[in-house]
Amino acid sequence: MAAPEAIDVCDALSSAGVDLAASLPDTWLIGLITALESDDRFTHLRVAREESAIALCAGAFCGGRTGVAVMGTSGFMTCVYAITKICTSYEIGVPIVMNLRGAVGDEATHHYGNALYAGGVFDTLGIPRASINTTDDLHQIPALIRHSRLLKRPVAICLPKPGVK
Amino acid sequence: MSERNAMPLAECYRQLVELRRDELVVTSAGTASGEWYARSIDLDASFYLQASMGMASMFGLGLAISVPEARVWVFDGDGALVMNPGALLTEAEAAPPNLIHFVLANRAYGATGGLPYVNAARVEFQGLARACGIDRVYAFDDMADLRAEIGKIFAERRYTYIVLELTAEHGLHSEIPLDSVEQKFRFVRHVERAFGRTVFNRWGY
Repeated sequence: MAAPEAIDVCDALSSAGVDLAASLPDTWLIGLITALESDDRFTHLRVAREESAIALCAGAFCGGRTGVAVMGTSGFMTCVYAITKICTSYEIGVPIVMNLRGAVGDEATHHYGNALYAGGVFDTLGIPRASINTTDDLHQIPALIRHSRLLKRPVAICLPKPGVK
Repeated sequence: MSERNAMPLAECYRQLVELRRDELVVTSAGTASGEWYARSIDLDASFYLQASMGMASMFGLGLAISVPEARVWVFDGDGALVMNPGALLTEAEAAPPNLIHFVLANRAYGATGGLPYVNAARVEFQGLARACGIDRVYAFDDMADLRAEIGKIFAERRYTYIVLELTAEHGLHSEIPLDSVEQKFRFVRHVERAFGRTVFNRWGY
């Protein structure tokens, strides 16, 4: 089974009605962010803090657009405030496209703490998640985005190591 | 803080309520929200983003980009802005012409007892915005000047950042008589009606 490419992820996002992305890069996300930036189907905004991406997508939701917040695991770990204060309080689902830095096989030692605790944060905040490791998994992306809207809370779409090209 | 010119928040809001037409409003936490509700009594076209400090302008940016025919006002506390000054970089780059970001600069955490935030007496919000690449920056510390100029500023449709230097006051309103989920539904239903958007699907979510 082949690893998905960035264009595959963009296609899957677009098929779910996503037309906006707010991102802050991680090394493993450069391929996807570059693809989102150059793809006319998306409005792409760069943020300086991952919580801004959550707030931006929540505002876009209230205006009728579907946005995704794109960030690394470290960024996700800084988003508890925005998720609880905006997504939980107002019941607004924001899909998060991210990676799982620090998991088995990631040799960047400064990321391992993310992998130790990210799962617990997902569970504590009630954030459903799925890993998109192969092209066979791509169908989960539109399903997760629809689920985020229905559930009215974030979902995590986790891309493979070392990202998509 | 040493002597400085400043305006009462309620007076500023009264002036803006008078000039408001169909703008969508997003307010930051605490008195920015409570006083706006007390002056506007608006439970439909204003989104009170309570207790999400540093997030209001990003929420407003997402809204402005999504409803380009709307005019969006964001009322951001200065204590909130200093929690996320990097938001100004995103605003400067996106610069949607239908967004106005007001900074309510009372130089304190007004809703939580009025203590000053770090270096509150010296931070210069116009310079902060300009350093982040925002071109259209205004500041007011006098009601007469605000009354004289604000209409002209609104007449031009460009992304704008306005600092309102405010007096430090106690006893301001901070309450909104709606649960946050009801706020969301009322606001979004208003957007749907006023701007012809379909936000919620046929099942209501």
